Amino acid sequence: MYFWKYWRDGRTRIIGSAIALPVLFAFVTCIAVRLGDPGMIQKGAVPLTSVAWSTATEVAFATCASIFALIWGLMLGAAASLGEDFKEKTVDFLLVRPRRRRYWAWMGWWAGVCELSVMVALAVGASFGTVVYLTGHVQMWWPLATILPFALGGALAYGLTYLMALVARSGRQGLSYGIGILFICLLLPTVASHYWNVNLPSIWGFMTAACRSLTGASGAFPFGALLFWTFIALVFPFASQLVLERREV
Amino acid sequence: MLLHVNPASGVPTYLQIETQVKHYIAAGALAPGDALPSVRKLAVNLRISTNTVARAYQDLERDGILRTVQGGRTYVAENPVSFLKSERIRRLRPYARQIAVEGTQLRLSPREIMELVQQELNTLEEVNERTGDLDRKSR
Amino acid sequence: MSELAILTENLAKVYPGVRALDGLNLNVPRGVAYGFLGRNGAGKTSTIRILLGLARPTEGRGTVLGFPIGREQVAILERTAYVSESKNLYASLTARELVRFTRGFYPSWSDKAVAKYAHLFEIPMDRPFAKLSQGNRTKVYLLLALSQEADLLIFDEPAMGLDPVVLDEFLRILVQDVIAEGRTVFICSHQLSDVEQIADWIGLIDHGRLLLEARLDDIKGQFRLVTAAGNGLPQTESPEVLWLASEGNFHKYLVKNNADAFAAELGRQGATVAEISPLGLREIFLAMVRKEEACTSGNTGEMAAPV
Repeated sequence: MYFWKYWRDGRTRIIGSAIALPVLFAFVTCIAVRLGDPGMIQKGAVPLTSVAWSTATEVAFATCASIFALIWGLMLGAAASLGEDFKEKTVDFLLVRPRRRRYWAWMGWWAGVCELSVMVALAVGASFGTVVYLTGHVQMWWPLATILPFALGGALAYGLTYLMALVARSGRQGLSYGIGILFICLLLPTVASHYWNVNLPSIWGFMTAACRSLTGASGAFPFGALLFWTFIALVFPFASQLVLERREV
Repeated sequence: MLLHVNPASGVPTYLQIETQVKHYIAAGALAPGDALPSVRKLAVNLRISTNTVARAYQDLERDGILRTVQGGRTYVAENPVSFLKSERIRRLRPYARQIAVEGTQLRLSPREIMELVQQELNTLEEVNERTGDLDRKSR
Repeated sequence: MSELAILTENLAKVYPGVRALDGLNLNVPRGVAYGFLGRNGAGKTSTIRILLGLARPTEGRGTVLGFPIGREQVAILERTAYVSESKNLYASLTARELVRFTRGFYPSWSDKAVAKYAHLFEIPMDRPFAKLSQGNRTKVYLLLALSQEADLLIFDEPAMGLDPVVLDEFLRILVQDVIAEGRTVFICSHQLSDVEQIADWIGLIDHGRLLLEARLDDIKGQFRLVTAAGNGLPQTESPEVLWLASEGNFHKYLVKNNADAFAAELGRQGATVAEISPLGLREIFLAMVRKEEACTSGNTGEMAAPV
């Protein structure tokens, strides 16, 4: 019944996004491809090169999808978090149901990650489909696998905001904290490498690198970073569990 | 059967029930062998706890006034009081004491108190006769 | 199976600056209606929160339905239904949807009960919760709690917003479907008349401790107000006297036990005992928790000294 309620609370958002996102990303991809190489507008006119892919991926995939995943994660975390229950004062009803507190923390995280993954998949799928349509054939299927790094990025933003909203007992506050912390985490590696020549792990860097690797543009797949960020992503729901277990209502 | 209770009264509810049942029996409204509502039914009707009704019925049964059969139904006992006279007197004494104390505190003379008791006995007898008449007419 | 529905041992709860519970020892038998009474801030809500696992005790421990609080909280929650004082539920969900959400948690859930109570209480099942009146909100909350068929029902102001007809129906259902079935009801309420009607046991809490815990019938059978007249204050150090008030020659004693013996003692000291009267729950409650005189005749009198 948890998923039923999750669906019931978010069905407008979910259905709306499921329709709007593919349309949006198909559109953006079209523009990106056209900007990259005008000749490619004609279907099948030019064989697909890695350079063309690279342009498309740079804009439509890496940038938009990354931004989208992060923003979506932030907003979802604020909306779906138990923090909102605290604000609405429905939390005592929820916590009196016969479940351990960690159930609520993890189910909340899991449901959000599922929704996020579906949305990312729709966005990536739409982009991929657009490129295939424009170029006339599929060069490779690997770009579809970019769902994974983007979903992971989204899950991180989601888990972070979920935790912040829980701590602040408010979706809106949690969103503010989440945005702030995420901003720092995105900015810091860039600053550190630029000014001090220190290489800090960056989720942005990971998503971009993974994307490039999977679309054949450049580089090996960053498996190390994948493991690292997966671990970090799981820290957030665990922290939410700890916070919820200690919280007095 | 119309029992009623006043929960706001200072008198415990179970006592109110016991008193009423005894009163009905004494007035002839309840005859030996008559069935009483089940504990559950009476409790639901009066909107009071079944434990309260159960206690009243248990006390009355212990005093030999009611009798519960195997199936759970409760009836007025055939020979409502089957104790020795000395036991019966022992049971009435606290009430007699209470009348004596209350009456004295109200500055009534012993004669006035006795008259009062006699009046009540007379009224009870009249009610009994009337109930007996009704019974005879209805048969 | 434990005999007690709720048992607490020296339960204490300390918030910064205030000791909400201070050595609470509750003994709630199974299968009874237990009225948990006290002023606002006396510790009723803190107690309930701890029983339900919403808060943790600072000291002490307890069991609910035989299961230790905290350690086996989920087992407790499976068998306990709760109606909170603030009847908040998800604003956009209708009663029907709330039932849909709640029923999945309880193996003992009864759909027949839902239909029955929805009909009896006349609940609008398809209106969003936010659009319901206070009375209807209470009814929805009661519906969810009663359909759970729980072994223990914890009610905090269950009658809020209910009109007299619905309230009467609610009391009838409590007797018929809960108490008569051997389940336990734990009611916190300021509606002393409702509590007086339905309760077998009373627990009176004040400043975090139990002042009184006994069968209501026994309380009514024992508590008496003794009114006496006499020159000077008759000396008495009886522990049975809870409270006394004086006005001139008249003295009122609230005695919790052995009123006759006490009256006799007063008589021996030369006072004239005018009346020994029984007390209703409200008077007993006021006498136990108030420090100033609560003269039943309406006189303000002088300050009374709790003995």
